[in-house]
Amino acid sequence: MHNITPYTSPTYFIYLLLFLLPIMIGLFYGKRFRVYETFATLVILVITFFGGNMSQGFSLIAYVLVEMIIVLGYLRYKRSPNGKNNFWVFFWAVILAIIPLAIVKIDPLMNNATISLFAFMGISYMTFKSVEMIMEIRDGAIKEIKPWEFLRFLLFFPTITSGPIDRFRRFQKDVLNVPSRDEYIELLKSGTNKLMLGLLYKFIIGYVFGTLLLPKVSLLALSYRDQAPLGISWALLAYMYVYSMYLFFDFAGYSLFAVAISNFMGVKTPMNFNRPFQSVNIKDFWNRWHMTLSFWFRDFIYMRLMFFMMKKKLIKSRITMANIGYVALFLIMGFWHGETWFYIVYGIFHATAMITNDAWLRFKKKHRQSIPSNKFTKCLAIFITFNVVCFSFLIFSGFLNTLWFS
Amino acid sequence: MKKKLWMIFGPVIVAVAALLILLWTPINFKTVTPEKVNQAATSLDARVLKGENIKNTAEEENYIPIIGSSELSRMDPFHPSSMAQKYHWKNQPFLLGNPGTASLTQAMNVSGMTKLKNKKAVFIISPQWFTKKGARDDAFKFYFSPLQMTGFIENSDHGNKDLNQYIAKRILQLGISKGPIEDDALRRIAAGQKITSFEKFYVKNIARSSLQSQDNLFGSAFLNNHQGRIDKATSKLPDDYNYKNLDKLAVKMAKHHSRENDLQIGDSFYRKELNHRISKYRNSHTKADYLHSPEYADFEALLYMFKQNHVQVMFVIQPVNPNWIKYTGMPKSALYNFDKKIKYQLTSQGFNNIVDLTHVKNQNYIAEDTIHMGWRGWLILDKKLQPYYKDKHADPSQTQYHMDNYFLTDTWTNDTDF
Repeated sequence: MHNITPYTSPTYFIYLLLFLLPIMIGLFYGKRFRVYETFATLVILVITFFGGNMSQGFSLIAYVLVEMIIVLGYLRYKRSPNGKNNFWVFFWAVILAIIPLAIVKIDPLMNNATISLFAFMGISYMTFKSVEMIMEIRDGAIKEIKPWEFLRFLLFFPTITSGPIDRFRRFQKDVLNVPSRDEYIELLKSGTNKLMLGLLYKFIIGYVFGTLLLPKVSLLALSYRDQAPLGISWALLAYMYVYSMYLFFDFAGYSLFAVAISNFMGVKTPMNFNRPFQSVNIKDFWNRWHMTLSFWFRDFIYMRLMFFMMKKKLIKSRITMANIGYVALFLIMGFWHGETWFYIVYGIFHATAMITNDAWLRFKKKHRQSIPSNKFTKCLAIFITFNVVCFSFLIFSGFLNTLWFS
Repeated sequence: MKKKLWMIFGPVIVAVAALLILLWTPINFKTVTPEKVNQAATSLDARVLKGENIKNTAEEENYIPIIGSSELSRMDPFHPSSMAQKYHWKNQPFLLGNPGTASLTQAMNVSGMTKLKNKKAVFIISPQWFTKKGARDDAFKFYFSPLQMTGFIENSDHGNKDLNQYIAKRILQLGISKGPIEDDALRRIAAGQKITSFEKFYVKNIARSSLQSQDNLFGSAFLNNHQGRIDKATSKLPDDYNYKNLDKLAVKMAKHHSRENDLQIGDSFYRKELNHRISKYRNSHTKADYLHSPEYADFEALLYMFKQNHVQVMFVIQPVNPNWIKYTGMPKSALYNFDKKIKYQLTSQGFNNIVDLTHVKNQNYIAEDTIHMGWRGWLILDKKLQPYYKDKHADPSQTQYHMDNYFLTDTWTNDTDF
């Protein structure tokens, strides 16, 4: 039997809903069957990771154990009576937690790449969760994590492979609580809506863009590659829009499934998308696109860096500081996506867009009287943002790499 | 409370029930109209190839299939679909073939054409299929039809056992996996065992019936439409059929469309595919060899499918542009030997109707580009097709095939002594 990638086949949904049914009936009658929840989680994890040659499954176990030792070890250090808030202990805990992911990301670059020890679906998202726990332990926001709480949070199966990225304390609040009948009915309602919307997004709209249109425009764009410098053609423009739509509907569809299934389990996993193509500027876009990821980067990279620079008084100008923060944030995001030129250029492109946007907003504030602001300018802003974003996705798609270099 | 739950889950339950009805009840949704069949005949849509319903409907109307590969998309005025329309042939060609379809894909395709029984077909062979590696797995996967596979599994308990074993083995070899139950059934057939009664039940009543409903519902919706191209092509033909005049016209048109190179290759193809890398191809085929290929056994599987339904077949061996042969330095023996081997396989089993275009005397403009027939190539074929298309029913004296399992073996695929 092969691994079943979550949310991709009717079989997975049938298994999933079958295993969920007892949990849902329980919650409806105000009970959480904790033993059964653990059992269902185990079965679904086995279906997801232990099909085929099982190497993914063993990697998952090894990874989770390593992360548990690091996070709980750091917690113990922090809580011990003579434990101080030493920066270097914290620093190394974070580095150690990231190392498995770094190995997986760097592995393909090696001359004789091995399938690295930790390669399995979802390692990125588990690493985000682990690092978040370490950071909040340091802040003193998290005071206690029991081993099984750690496992339950990390291995929460609805979101295990691709997020949304929940936060430990928020998650705890939901799983320790049993919703009232009315609350749970609301959750069932929103879950069902999201599940159905997700099916429409991923399997109908995403299918039209990704499976039907994308190969066609891709072939077309490749066939015109020699007609103009850099292979620019109308077909390439079409590829840009088709890919962007595919990317959104496929991932938003997946995210809706993950939130819907969480809801059925009485967990209000945060949403990942909020009409991103209606953004009026690039900053607005990142508050609406893959939100749990961008908020994670904001809270745990950007803000920390700002705070660090302020405390150490490294740079005086707040503007320069913000700009350095953007470059750092988006470069790291680029490297996280993968070690290829187009992911890194994608990062730099977004950093530049953010810096430009900030500069424009400052300019606008200064000249408030002379710059019009009405319905038309708002539409123009949405139009420009949309196209800037789609262009960045064209870079992200890697299609330019195929077009230019192969 | 009940009302609240119903408001949430009611629509979902209704939708699921509707889906189950659509997919598994024997209600036949008539979506195939004569217009649809007409469109499908030249659409070259992969769904037509992978489906069953529309092809079988076409078999009950006045169509004779032309089964082949990428050459079918060369729709110049002399393309059989254009000629048949212009000169009102009794039956019209129904095109089945795309870039990358080869013997095994077409064997599966023919296996699903149950209404082809005791009728006629045309099959175009490309020498380029018969490479050392044989069928490409990506192309095979792309054109692989789960519907035809379920038909094959369901019927695996009768017919020729060696053949079923061979096909199942090849399907697995080329990396097809369509579900645990189907995979296991294929493994059993490949091992020469019977499928279990559960597998038979599942494949027939669960998998196949749902795929059939899907084929009925979606198999003919939003097909590619090439009718415009055919109409444009026919408009360039004179009203009276005269072979000599048409031959002159073909040369004239071909010349006009291949002005930018001296290889008699159509300009648009040349510009798109060759212009920037033409020099790479000079003397690149000096080691061409079409004698050692698993494709010969795949081709045998196809012949079995024709035999099982008593189909009368006209085989066409596709020509290669003679200028291209020279440019790429392909040895003359390569095509000559291929010809000899494939003809041996055909005639020794009773498939005697062969139109061999590799050995036409005047080879000018016989191909539209490098390896695809067109212009004069189509015209020469049309001359043979026209009388053949007068009656779509097979002549029983022409379907007396006697198959030999030797042609399914590795010994034959590598045989050079025949």
